[in-house]
Amino acid sequence: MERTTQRMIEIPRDVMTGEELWQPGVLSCQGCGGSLAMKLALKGLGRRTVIVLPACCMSIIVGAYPYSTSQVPLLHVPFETAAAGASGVRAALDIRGEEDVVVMAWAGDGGTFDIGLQALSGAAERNEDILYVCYDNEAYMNTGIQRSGATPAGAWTTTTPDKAVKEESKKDIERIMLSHDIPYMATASVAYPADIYAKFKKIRSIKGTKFIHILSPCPPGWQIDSADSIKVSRMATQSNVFPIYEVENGKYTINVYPEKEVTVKEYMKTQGRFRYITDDAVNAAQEWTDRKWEKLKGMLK
Amino acid sequence: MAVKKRSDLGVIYEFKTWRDITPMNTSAGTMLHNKTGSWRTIKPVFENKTPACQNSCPAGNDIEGWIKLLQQGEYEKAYWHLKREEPFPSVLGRVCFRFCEEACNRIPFDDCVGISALERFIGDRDASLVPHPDLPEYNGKSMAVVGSGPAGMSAAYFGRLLGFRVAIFEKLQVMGGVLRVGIPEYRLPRDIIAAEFEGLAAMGIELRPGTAIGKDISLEELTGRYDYIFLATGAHGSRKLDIDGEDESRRIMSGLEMLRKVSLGEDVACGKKVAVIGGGNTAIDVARTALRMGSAVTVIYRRSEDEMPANPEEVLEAREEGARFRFLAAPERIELNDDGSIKKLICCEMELAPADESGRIRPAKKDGALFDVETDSILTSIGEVPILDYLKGIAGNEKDVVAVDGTLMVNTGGNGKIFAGGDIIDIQRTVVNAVASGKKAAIAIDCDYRSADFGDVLKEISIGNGSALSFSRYMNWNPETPQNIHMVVDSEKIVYDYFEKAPRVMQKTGDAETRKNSFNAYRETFTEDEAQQEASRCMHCGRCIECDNCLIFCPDMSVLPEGDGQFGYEFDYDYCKGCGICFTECPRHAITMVSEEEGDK
Repeated sequence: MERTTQRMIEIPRDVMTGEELWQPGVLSCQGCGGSLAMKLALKGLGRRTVIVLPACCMSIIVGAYPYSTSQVPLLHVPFETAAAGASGVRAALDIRGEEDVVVMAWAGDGGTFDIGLQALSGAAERNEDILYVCYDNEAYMNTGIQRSGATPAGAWTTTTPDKAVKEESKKDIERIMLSHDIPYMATASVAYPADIYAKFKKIRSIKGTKFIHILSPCPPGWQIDSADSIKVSRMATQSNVFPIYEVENGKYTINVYPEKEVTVKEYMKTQGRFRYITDDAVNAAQEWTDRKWEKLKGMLK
Repeated sequence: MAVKKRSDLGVIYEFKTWRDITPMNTSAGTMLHNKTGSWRTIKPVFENKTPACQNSCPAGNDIEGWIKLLQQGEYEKAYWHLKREEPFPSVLGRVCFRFCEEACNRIPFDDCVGISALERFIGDRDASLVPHPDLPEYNGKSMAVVGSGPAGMSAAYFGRLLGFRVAIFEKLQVMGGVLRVGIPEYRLPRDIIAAEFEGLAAMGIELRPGTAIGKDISLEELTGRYDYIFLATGAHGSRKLDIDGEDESRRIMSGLEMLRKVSLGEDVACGKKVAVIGGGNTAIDVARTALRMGSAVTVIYRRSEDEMPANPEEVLEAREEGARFRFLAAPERIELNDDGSIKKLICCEMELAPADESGRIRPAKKDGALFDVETDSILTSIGEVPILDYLKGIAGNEKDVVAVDGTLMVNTGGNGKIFAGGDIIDIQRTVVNAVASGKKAAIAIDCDYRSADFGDVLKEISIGNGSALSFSRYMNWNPETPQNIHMVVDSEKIVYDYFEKAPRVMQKTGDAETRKNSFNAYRETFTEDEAQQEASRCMHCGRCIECDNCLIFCPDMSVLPEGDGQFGYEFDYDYCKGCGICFTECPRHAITMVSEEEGDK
């Protein structure tokens, strides 16, 4: 198994210094993973893109009417309709003959794991030619940190407070999406920007429903220092809590084998939201992570 | 899976133009009016810092600076950049103690960067005589350097770069001091030393071999003829064993004397079996020189191998060449035959007592545990002392060293401005420390000439937390990027996730059998490929190399590349929210966070 460091694949310099489709002035908190993920995604996608945005942090971050930080068309849609909205935009563009434009639904974990799941499932079942991105900060952060289906076991939120931290594990959205038999499914993390860039560049050439799940740290919600948000995301991958892989027409590839390995406990220790977790729950989380990692590696064969 | 298109399903919308669709609220403006920089309480600034290697180098060698140039293939630039802080790369690249490699931030990751091998590559590559690019006009003052060892060479070099007219006086007929008569030829070939002196002569420095102070010319005469004197006569005397029988045989010799005689081509008869007393680098040099003259060598050291001050690599090589080591043993007395030859050396076994207040482990004799060592001659190297007879009545000296003040100045009571450095003052006795003292003295002399306060200057030019001085800083040869030379980047500040492990490239080394039969150098200088490969392992701690991490990771699009072929980036403080991601993700700690209110760090 070959180990990879972060710099083994690079983003070309002219891309990084070139056209900025996500302009500054954004209303994100300090150290926001979501804004960073969007910036990197648009670097990979380029100008011929339409964003469909349900209610989520990003609908605030992008700015209020009549301003928008996005330099590509962006459509605000209701919370549960990201995939349905994207399907509609796709249809409209197809009618206009603009088939090269990528339609990207960009939803948070609440809009994907919970509220938007039926629309997403429907779109995936129809194999709509859209890209659906879930930027996952593991709770409803925009409304003040409420538990979502993406919140990991042991995490504090305002609806799973103090001694009543969440007991249920994170929903396995990747397997849900893969059971729709879509042509492309990938995970990504803002800690590995070159990987995000490469994946968004790649999906342009893939027809059908594409799903990308990006781990995107939230300093206030995770109770971490804004400066550490990338470091903590990196540890999520180093601890195999959030492995980075892609599945293309059923073929699995693990994109990042971190050179350094850390335990789930070390990962959790970096975040205030896990401060109420019991040792048993940490061990259970470690077992859950190991089991999922072994299963993932088993899929490579 | 076939992709379904809406038009395939036959749903056709008929609008005459798109304007027929109900108008929607559409945002056209950007968010650029929203200056998010006002949210900030701390802000990032680009600021290069001092890498751990440079901090640990007594001479303040800007290692990262010339490795960067080396990587760009700019070998000549790298050579002159190196020589701004450390004037003798070919020499130090061979004989340095390498404090830098011990401090290298790669050590917790894989292995240190072979800095001395790279320095040697740069030095050997461009040692040709080209005019020094930084040479100034003479400033009208003169400086006499007494002693042509590394301290004297360094003071002369930096003195000349500061505009002084310099002459180096050397007692021996050959120049180089300890480099020439203390360090054996297999470690430092004589043509390398000669080339360095050619370079010094080409800078306009007068070389005066065969001129002993106190004999050929008196110190008073010297102080009358020169504005400044720098004494660097080195430690060429040896400590005595102080045991019975020591003074009665010519078969007992100081190791230094033996090295000097061999270096000068004089006859030395060691006999078949040689006992070397001591555990320092000189002892190893003596042992390996004796091996090369065909003797069987036993090194006797009173502590264990772990406490040996000698370089472990050289101990290993000496062992490969056949030297035997007897640790935890000290000579007790020597029994002589009637003809003055040695009958036997009687040693006492030692044991280690716990470390004392100074931290050094003291060996103690074991009662009655005596044993004999058969040997034809005994070479002692248990410590070197300066010979300071020529200073009588001029300079105060304590503990066998010359007393100097913070500017390395000797208190002569008004009889001339005399400075001292190298092994005759109380510093660690290595070549690089000597070079550092020469640099410091040259700067102190220049401060005296300019009537500048050396203490104030020191605050500006001292590197990191050590005592090394930056000559570039003194000369205002400052780099373009702002640099905080006082802040050191140690391994805790490096983000190792951004680096790849890579095995260290070693210099090709001759095998022990060939080595011990000749005084020829046995280590080969790097080829260009080897040098490039090893240089690529440098992590450039504390120095921006445009890796783009800050640019890529900024969630607020507030890092702007300079553009137009300019190096580096700028922060857009209109929008930077001060989250600090660039600071934590800079692999090499070239960004500092500063408080908005006070400007504190």
